[in-house]
Amino acid sequence: MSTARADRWQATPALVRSLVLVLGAVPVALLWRRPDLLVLVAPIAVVLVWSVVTRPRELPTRTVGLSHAQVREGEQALAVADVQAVAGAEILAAALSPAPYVEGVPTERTRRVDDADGLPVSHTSAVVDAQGPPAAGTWRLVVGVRATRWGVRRVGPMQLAAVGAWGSYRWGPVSEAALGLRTLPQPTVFDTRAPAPRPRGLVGTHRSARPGEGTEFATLRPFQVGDRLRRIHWPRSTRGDGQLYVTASYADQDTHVAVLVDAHYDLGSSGGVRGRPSSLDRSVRAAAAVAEHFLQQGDRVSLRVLSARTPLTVPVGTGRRHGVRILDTLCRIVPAATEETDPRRVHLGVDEGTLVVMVSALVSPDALVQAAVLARRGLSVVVVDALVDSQDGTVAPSAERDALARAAWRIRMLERDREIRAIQAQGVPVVPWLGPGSLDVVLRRLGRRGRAAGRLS
Amino acid sequence: MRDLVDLWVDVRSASHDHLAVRLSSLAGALLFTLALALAGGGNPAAWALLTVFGGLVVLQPHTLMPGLFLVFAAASWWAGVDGGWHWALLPAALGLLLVHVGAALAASVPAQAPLPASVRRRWAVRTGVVAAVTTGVWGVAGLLQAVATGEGGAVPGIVGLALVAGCLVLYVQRLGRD
Repeated sequence: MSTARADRWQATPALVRSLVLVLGAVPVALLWRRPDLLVLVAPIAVVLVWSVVTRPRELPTRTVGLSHAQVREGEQALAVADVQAVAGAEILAAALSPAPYVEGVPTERTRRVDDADGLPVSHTSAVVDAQGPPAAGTWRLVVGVRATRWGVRRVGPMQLAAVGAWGSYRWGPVSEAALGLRTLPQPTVFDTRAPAPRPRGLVGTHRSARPGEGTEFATLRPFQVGDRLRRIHWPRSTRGDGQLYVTASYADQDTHVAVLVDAHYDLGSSGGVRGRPSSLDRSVRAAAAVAEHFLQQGDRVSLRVLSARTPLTVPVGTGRRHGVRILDTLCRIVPAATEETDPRRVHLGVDEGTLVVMVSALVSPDALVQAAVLARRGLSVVVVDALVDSQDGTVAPSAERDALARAAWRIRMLERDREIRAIQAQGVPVVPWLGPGSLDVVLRRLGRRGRAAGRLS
Repeated sequence: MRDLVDLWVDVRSASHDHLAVRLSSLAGALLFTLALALAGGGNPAAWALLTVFGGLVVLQPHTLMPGLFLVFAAASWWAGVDGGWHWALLPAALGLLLVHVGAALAASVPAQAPLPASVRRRWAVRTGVVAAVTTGVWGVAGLLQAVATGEGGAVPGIVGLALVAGCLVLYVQRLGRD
């Protein structure tokens, strides 16, 4: 139904049938002298007269919005429609069109029902009683929705309708434009006890290789001019050769963590926040977890998304707001393949001492080349393999029905194994994303390598 | 076939209130069928057809099905029941009212949305008011039947038709004004 045609009060099938029944039965009753037919249609005639007398005429104005500009995956938001109160309108209704990864929040206990396509019926509709004085001249319709996957989720379009007395006249359904709900990725549980290798900054929580002001104990050494008195170690000083000893510590430093997300491909189908993740789901959630972890430690984090569609970057920064900015950027990722990128021309904004965490499904040659080039520059690079399932630690087999496609997938996986071995041979560690502690071993190894390199030079 | 599946899905996923409203239509259809049978009208085939139509009204209240039921029901009464007043007229008329009102309310709101209690209450009260008026009409009709002498010829029919035509003209004029 066109919007112009829907945006007016129209007779419903209920009015038409009561009109047809009354106009058909009454002449028959009069001509054939059947008063019983008059009694039979009397209630319908009363309803008909009532409906016509109370017919609504004004057209309601309306506004539609969302209660939240952004939510996390799995969190709820409200689609809100404010409809102006008009005389004669008795019931207002709103319904949201189904959209991918957006489900309704039912207000009463429901059971799962699948439609003809096998998709669950979403309870994304609401009804309000439009009789009586409204608050501020408008009636508010609220539909609860839950975004089940990161990204900019489409909510709506919302259909709005109103009916008059006895459901005889209807306004709408009028379709309102769909709204975008930014859904931030829900970072997977991640923690690492290993320090970031080769920290460079002045403040932070990582132990520096150099002595300085910090909290990490280094050694006891004789007092020197300029040492703070509160650093004097009295037990050692009173026990020894009459010399004062002070506690020396390592300096606390931060580091720059550059998170690179390979968004060339999204392999597998995403089941949302509670279902089986696709490769890009794992990439985005792992990147969010790594970024949040290092930001909480006080490190500086930057983000770069490698994709033909969304070359997104977030410059280096720190703090809670910077974390939200990174999540907001991650939720705008759209996968698109590009095979022609010259990695030497891509400026990633990383310098010496940067820890590069690349999260990739390792299917695109572009990402592998980028990692190799960065490692060759002497940077600490860790590649997180997002194609491996964190539950069983294996790559999911192809879900294709075509035997040829399945064979092609197996061949590609063999090639991928070879490429991973080749990049590991160049000194780039590749680790599967397995949640907390995924990067511990690798970061410690990189830290040792960095210190050894420092001693050699 | 796909449309039928969609209608069935709509019923299965409907809210409890919505289902109750749809079932009130079915109750109205059964009440009318029972009244028709008690008035000596119709035959088993007609009663079965009315029941099936009642079920179809539950399945698709927003289509022509309720209208089809009402027309078929009125035609069945006209063809099957002898003219004149009968006590079963009242349950038959109330049955038609329930079918119409239930289908109208069910077609007015999305099936999955719960109906506010105030809406349910108002529709129930209004249906009761119309039922009371119908009872009054039924009583007056019975009274007139008792006192009628059969004189007057075609005058009551002509007056009635003129009244209906006048109402129709008024309605069309009102539509034109809007």
